[in-house]
Amino acid sequence: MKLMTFKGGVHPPTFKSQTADKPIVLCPLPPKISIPMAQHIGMPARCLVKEGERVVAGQKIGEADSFISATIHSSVSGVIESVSLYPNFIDKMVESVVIIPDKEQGDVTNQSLNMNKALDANQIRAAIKEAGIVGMGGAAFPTVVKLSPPPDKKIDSVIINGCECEPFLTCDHRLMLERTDSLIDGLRLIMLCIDADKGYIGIEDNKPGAIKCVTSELNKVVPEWANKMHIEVCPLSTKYPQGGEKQLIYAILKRMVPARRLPSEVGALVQNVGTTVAISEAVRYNRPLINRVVTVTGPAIRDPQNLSVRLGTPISWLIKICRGFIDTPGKVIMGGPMCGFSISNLESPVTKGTSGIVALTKEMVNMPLLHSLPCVRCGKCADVCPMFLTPSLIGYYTEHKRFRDAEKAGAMDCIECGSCVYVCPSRKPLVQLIRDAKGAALSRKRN
Amino acid sequence: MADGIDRLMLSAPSHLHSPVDVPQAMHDVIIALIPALIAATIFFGLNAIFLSAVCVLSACITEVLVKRLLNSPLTLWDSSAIVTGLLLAFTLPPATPWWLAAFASFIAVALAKELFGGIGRNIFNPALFGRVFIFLLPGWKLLLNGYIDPLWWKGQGFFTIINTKFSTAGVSIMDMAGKHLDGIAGATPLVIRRTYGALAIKNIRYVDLFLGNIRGSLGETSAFALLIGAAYLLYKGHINWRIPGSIIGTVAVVSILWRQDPVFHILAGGLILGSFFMATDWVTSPITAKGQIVYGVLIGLFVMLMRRFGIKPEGVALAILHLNPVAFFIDRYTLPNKFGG
Ligand code: SF4
Ligand code: SF4
Repeated sequence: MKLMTFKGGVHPPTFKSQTADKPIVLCPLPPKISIPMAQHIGMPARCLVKEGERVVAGQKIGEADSFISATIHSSVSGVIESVSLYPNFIDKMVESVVIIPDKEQGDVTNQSLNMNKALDANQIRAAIKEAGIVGMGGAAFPTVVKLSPPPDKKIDSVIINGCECEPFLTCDHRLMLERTDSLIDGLRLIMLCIDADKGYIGIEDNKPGAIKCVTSELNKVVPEWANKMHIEVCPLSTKYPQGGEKQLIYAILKRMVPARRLPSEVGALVQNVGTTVAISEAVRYNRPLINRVVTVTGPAIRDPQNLSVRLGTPISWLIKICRGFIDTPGKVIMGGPMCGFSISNLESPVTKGTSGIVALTKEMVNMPLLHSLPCVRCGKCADVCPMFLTPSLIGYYTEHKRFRDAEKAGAMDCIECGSCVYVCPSRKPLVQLIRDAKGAALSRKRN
Repeated sequence: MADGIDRLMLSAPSHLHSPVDVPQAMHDVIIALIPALIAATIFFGLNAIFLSAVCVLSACITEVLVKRLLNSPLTLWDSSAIVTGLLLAFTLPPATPWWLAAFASFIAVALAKELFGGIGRNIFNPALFGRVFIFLLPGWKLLLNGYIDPLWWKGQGFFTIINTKFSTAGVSIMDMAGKHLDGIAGATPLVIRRTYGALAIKNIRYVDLFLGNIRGSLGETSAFALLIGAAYLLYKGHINWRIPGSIIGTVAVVSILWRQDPVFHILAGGLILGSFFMATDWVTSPITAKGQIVYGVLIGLFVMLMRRFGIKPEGVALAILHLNPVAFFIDRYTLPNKFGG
């Protein structure tokens, strides 16, 4: 069978074997939890609690006051030590609630609810909003906003992004294997919510286990769904960034989202695996989003694992649970190594968008060539760019402070996938240059 | 854990890099040139290796000297000087005097590469620049006497190192001991064709053209050996089909239109060497997919025009050199349409 795919992209080694077969385990309780009020794109939540107060797990501690925002819940039962500014993973100070957890933690899941109740779109949306769900692949865009498209945009196809095209990460892979029923339930809830009749689950062919597992779960036909919705599994070729939103829509539906437009423009909607599972839990069990699966891995980690982590847990705690570093790490990345953030503050907390913690060794980040060679015009960056840009040219313009030209050459369309940086034989920091160009364009527009 | 924190590196993604960096790619080009070097040694004797070594050494020494002079960091480790030296040697008549080869190599690196700012900033392909430069010197026609016969060494000994002398009387090809080696040189097939017409090349067999059993520049004659190297570069992804394919395609089409033998035009002269190893030079060729095809077609046309109307016998080197400075502009007009726009 010919696998679906997009044009361009790269084939980095997948490095997934360290954790692909390790079941998700519950991360032990850290001594301290710090929950930022801004874990999402949009307005930070308004803090509802004060120092000294006692909270229980699942209690709402942050209210979303504007449309593009998300509610925040306590991930533990305990006493609030402080409400103050605390650095997040990019060292930006955000208002955070610091909680000392109790030794004993109850279960927040309300098993009895909603399982077989007939639900309408508004009920689903309300449950998702109440649970504070945001995109868990990294972008952290409030899900309820995504599920409320403008009335003139009819969405007919929902795609679940099971590509997990980033090297090292296996959290979505594990969820597809271990939470298959919730995944499919979540997909159906999304389809019901926006009245779409076609659902697709895109999975790269390096995860045959997940493809099999999801397919067989789909075959257990639930009568009341069966004739209203069409859902299929789409095996995709293993290529980065297969899970890029526009790339995935093109690969599966062969529809091209116009530049700088949203997927709703072509009647499509993409959701991450973790988000979809969280939607099912929120709607069926009234369970707020208070924990998520994080792959803690990389050659510098002694015992890589897939951990189910309470939001607000310090990254250093996860590393400790994975028995620390084997040798001095050169770089610690939040997210995947192709487009994640390198971080320096290991005390910053896990948030709703943290899919992985990847620690690379000193040797892997040691780049003597960095900044020492000019572009040799090999064209590899242009060959792999999934947005069909010419990264070397944008980089050239940025280096010469010709920001307008950089913008004209498409800087704003760059999805920062990092493919160009991956292939560049001169190790040009192209994404950095493109970010600079974007920054210059934004500040010019503001003035 | 605290001890590791301040030593963590921060940078924009991607945090992984393909193992292929510039030196690695240059090493692959060197590997790809080895079959042709072997073929050159078989047909032109040990002198082929001697001449190549002179060019490589001269290129490396020149680079070191220039960098020292400019007080800039040494870049010999990127191995591009070795590639320049080898490619230059491949374009020279096999009996080029060693000092002239060394001089051409010096020009290639000093003028064409370092003067423009070093690797990545040069406008002209250094090797071709060096080669064309010595063909612009007064008396360049004497160099045409350096096209020695393939397998000439059967009479003189495989290990003979050639020492060509120029004098008022003309050129004499000698060995290092001063013994004259007469009657071993002559005109290349392209020159024969131009001077005496298509009938004169009737007896040249395709198989000799293909294997390299003909007169020509040191490393250009064996299409077979060059194609092995080209296949390696294609496999490694350092070059693609667009430039060589469009050059060769254009040459074939034009020769058919002119009712000339396309196979001859493709295999004779430096077309295979030029298409796969010179025109594909990263720095001096376009980077856009469309641009690469435009560039290839233009080179192909130029080659055929030079071969028919030019005064110098070798069109390929000049064609590529003329289009080098245009590559940058071709890029500008052939940018791809971005995704969704
Ligand atoms: S320019 Fe942007 S979109 Fe294109 S490869 Fe580079 S990071 Fe990806
Ligand atoms: S990959 Fe790097 S060296 Fe090659 S053209 Fe792009 S920026 Fe230049």
